[in-house]
Amino acid sequence: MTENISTLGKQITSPLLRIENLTTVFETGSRKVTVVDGVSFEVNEGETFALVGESGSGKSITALSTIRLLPEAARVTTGSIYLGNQDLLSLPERDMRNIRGSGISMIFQEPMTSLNPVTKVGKQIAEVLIRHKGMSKLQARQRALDLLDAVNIKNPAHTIDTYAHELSGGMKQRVMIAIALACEPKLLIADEPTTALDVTIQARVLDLINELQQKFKMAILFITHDLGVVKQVADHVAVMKQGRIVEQSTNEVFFSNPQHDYSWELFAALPAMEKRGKPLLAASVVEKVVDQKNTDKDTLRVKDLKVHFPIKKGILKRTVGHVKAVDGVSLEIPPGKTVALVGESGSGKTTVGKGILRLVQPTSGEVTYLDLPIHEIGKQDLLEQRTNLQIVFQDPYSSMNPRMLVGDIIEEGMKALNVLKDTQARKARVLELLEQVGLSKDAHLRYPHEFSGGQRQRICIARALAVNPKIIICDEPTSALDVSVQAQILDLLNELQARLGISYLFITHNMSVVAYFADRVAVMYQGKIVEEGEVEQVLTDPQHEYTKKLLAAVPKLVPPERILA
Amino acid sequence: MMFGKPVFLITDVLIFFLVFVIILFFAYAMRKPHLRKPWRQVVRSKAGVISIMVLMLYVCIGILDSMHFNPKVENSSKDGDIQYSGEIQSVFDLIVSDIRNSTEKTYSAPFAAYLFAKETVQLEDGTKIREHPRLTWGGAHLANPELEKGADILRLAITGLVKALVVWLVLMTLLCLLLSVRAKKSFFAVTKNIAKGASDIPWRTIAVTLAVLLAVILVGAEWAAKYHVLGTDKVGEDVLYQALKSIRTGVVIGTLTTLLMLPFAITLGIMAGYFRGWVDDVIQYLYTTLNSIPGVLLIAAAVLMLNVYMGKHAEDFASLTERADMRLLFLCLILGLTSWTGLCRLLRAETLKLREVDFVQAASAFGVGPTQTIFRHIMPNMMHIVLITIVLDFSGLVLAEAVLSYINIGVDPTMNSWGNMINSARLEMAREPVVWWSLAASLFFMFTMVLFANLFADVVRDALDPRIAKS
Repeated sequence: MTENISTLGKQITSPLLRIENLTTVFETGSRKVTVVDGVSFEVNEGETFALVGESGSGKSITALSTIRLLPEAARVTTGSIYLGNQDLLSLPERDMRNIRGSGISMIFQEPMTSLNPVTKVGKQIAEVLIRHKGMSKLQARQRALDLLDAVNIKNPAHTIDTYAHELSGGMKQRVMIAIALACEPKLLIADEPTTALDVTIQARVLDLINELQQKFKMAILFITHDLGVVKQVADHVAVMKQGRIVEQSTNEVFFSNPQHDYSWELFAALPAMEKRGKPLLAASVVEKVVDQKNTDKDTLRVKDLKVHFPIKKGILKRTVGHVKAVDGVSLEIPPGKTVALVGESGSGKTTVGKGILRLVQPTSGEVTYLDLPIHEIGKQDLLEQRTNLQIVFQDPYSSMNPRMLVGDIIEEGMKALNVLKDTQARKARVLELLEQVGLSKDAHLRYPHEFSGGQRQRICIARALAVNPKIIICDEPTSALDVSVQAQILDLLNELQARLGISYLFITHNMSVVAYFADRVAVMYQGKIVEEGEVEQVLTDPQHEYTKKLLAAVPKLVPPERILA
Repeated sequence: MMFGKPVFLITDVLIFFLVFVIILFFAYAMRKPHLRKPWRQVVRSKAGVISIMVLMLYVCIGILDSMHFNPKVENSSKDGDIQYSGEIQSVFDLIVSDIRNSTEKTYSAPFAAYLFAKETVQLEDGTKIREHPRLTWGGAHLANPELEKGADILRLAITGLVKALVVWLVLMTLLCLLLSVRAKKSFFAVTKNIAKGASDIPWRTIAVTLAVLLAVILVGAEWAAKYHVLGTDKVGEDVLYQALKSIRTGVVIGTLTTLLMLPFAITLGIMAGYFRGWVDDVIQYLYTTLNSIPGVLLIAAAVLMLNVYMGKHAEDFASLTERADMRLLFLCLILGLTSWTGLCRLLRAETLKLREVDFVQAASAFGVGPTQTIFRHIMPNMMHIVLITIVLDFSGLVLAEAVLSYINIGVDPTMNSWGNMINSARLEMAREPVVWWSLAASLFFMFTMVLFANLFADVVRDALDPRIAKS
């Protein structure tokens, strides 16, 4: 009986946000691209509705259509959006401005650029209150203090008079949330609010959003690509693909038995401990070609590596101190193995990679490989070793010269290091490499911008492979990519390792990638390695406080098993 | 030589050299598929072909005007050897010799048959009256200018248009024939394609632009043979002739100065940004020092020094034209020396940014040396900045010339330039009724050149950037 009443009650309450058949089109010149294609969904009061999808699926544009902040070229062609009983699309801009802030507010992905750098944060919060609630300056300041307290900022009286650059990323996002909540909106749109944050900070911000939702009784439209976060926060889930919603269901149903094939693909692409040794997307496993000749000297050893950057001040550029980016790191990369280096942003992981390659000159410490002291060998020897040690960068967009043809990009290293002296042989090798990383051969006559992010990362891998390296330092090679593309790249790296016996130093912040991909893991914190060991052991039984904290913060997600009929 | 003995002024040589280099570059680029692609995109955009055609017209006039010679003196071959006059003329002078020699006494308005100012004229019966006397050349063929002039101008315009139409039809027929042979299609099909505007290269736009240019040139030529189309200046020289002669000065100042400045700006800017440390310090101090000296003072001092030098070595400069040319070259030099700092600063900042980008790091992971890194990775990625600066500076330099001529440290007063024209128009603007045509003519010619140079640079910039180039 009681159950009946509650379902009845749900039917009576009209949804807070109702979007019907929304279509948004980008027009550039004569070209029309439909970005959101007939999307309909409802968000009820007090619930969290998650919109999930890969980049370019139209989830952000759906949100921007709702708050009517679309870019110039975009236009809503059909559909209607109701907030309560109000049709948002037919409101004049003047009334819409009142809705923004007090009816709907929004927090964005990048807290670094969402705050005005030349205005104190208190003033930025007060601005909203003065505009929408007609408060006096003094009242607004008082309310701003309360809000900062509400978003768990420890010392509001101090923070209110700081500028954005004085705050950390997590603090900035808290301030952004405070601004968004200032007028107690009924609906909060959160567009990837934690993507730019470290995982431990992400956990705290998600907790905060959850807590505030209870307190203010507001609905949240949560946009993200991270299924782990979705599982943690959402009541309802909608999966978007190419502008359409392909599946809509409750949290429990979605994470136990998704209905659509695309949802299954998303789960399949997720790396996890359980999938170790199996390819994520590829059909078959490549047999490991075990290299018997490996001896002890093939292991790259890093001992007590330190990289300190001097801080210089004054006209005479006196060194007044040091930034200790890397402060005593010891590592071993055995042949044919993958060592993951994990840590939060600013922990110095990238600098370790660059220090090993001497792209940054280490301050002290030793790097030995093949009995050679890499950290101090001369120019000529270093050139020789550059064929053995290569690097793949995080951002596939900035790691290739946009004005060079892909063929020339891949060839550059071979030319510079004299790997193949004959021009024809080099050209043949370029084609071979392109095939090896799964690109078509005609790619060598095209420019990098003609490729997608994943394809670009393949080109970068081909470039590194061109000089037949033994060790590749992968600096967050998948963190700029969608999960399905990440899965392809991880499969490719696995295949190459099996076939060529390459070892990787895999620098990442993504624990599930580590769990799936690495053999050993080293956890880095403030320039030092705090814990090191076999992946299974470290992930299941962490010893150091920081590792425990890090692992606790990662959203738990066990991908459902598909039982094929 | 038919007309006389060729003379090569220094700026002529530099211009020919520049043209040669550009032709060489295109010949090289045409053989490389990835270099040919952006330029194909340029000739496929409408704004591209229009601006190329207009700029080509300017450049052709500039080049024709750079072919100098000493003309043969008439009746000089009595004792067998040929005498050459000391005066230096250009091929362009020869083509427009009609309007070059058609001087009046003083100001006359465009298309006027009478002088602009009243003069005291003695009639046959001995009485003196003040009236506007007839021009010796402009409209001299008319018996009664008041009645006949309008009809005559219209008649000449129609003659010009008919000529333009004939020339245009001949050229277009040739073009269609050529295209039909190359595409192995029927002549009719190709013509229809062009008329519909369906061709890859916008031939229809080219045809329309060609028609407009031909009409302007040929109608102008018809008029110029009988009238002063843009009037005459204080000493009775044809303003159209002056404006056309100024094209060479403008092109020389715009291109040579930029060319002199580029090596400084690019090498020093990149060196400062790439090597940093003491190299950066030295270069920064150099351009900060140079920037803190007022440019006009520096230029004035240099030009005055040159004047003294030329006065002491009069024998090295045989003619007024050579002196004027030397002064033009020196002006380019000194303008180039003072104007590289802005671009240098920009390029230094850009290099500082680029040297930290991943692809430069990747190159150093391959052990690519600094020279190759600079030439392969850094320079190509800031060419758009260089290109934009060249075009903006180009117009700025043409204007700077006008300002410098105003305080008499610009080009030689005997040399035709838009700056000198504007400078003399300063006094004319104060007359009542106002003499507006000198100023209007120079502004129109300057405006057209700068406008189309800007349009052209826009198209080239878009084409050269692979990130926005259409595949």
